[in-house]
Amino acid sequence: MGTENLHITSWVMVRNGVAVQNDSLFLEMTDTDPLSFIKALYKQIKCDYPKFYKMDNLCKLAFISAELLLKNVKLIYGSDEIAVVLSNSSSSFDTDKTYYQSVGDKSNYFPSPAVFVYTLPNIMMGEICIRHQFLGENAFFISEVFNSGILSDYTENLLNSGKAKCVITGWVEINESGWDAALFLIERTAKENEEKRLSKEHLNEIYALKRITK
Amino acid sequence: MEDIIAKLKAEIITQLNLEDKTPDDIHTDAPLFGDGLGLDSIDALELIVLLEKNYGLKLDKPEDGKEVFYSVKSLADFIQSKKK
Repeated sequence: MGTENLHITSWVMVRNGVAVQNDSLFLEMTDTDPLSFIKALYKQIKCDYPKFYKMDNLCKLAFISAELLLKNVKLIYGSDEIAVVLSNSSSSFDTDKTYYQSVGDKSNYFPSPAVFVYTLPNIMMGEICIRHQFLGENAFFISEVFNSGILSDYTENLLNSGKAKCVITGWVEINESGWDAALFLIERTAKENEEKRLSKEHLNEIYALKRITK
Repeated sequence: MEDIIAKLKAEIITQLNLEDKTPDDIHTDAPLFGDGLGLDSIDALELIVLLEKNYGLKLDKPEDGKEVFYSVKSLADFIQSKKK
């Protein structure tokens, strides 16, 4: 089996004060900082999930991107048939630094459990799965740059081996350059056209934001 | 006592990142866990840190935690009792 019937049925991009959902601009606030933008997005989406505010930055970015990805989507799969496969470059370094700073002063040594729990990048998949009650396979990859090949191959394997019927995959990264999330919903369907077929080229094309229609 | 309660509410909001809450949203006698503010096990650990960091207090007996952390009022009572 190849990727003939595996399609990118939904996608989102959250980057540099811009949130794009399936070729359309959802929100743009280019004169604000990334955290304020993500909070504005949370309010715009109108999701009522107070735990959002307790998450670290990386999880906030992943969580809100997944909310936007699934906003108008009705998943018809069992909880254990939905897999999440994410990747990034800097792991949880953004929160690692915060935690390191919090334990740096031995005379004022009060490690925060709430910060510590986010010092792993795969926690963002946990937050998405808890929110949507997904119980399928989770995998997290670290790569220097957005690696569509790994994501495409792993997703294809999960779907073609029967381990999942639907995969949320993508890239959620925070580093000195900024915040960058790109999530894709991959499903087996014969209805979509060729340009939405799962392939590393199509993932790259979307990631490069060549398809925005304002 | 009212001062401690007001201070505690503000500290809980800050320490637990309850950004969507105001002190008025936290009812003094309401349970902090479960039905009340809906706090979780990590929040419980954060409250222990808060007690130690801001008030220099530790729970002598872990089994007292359920009672001490029941509400803002019970937390304030505990702090008050240790001041004496």
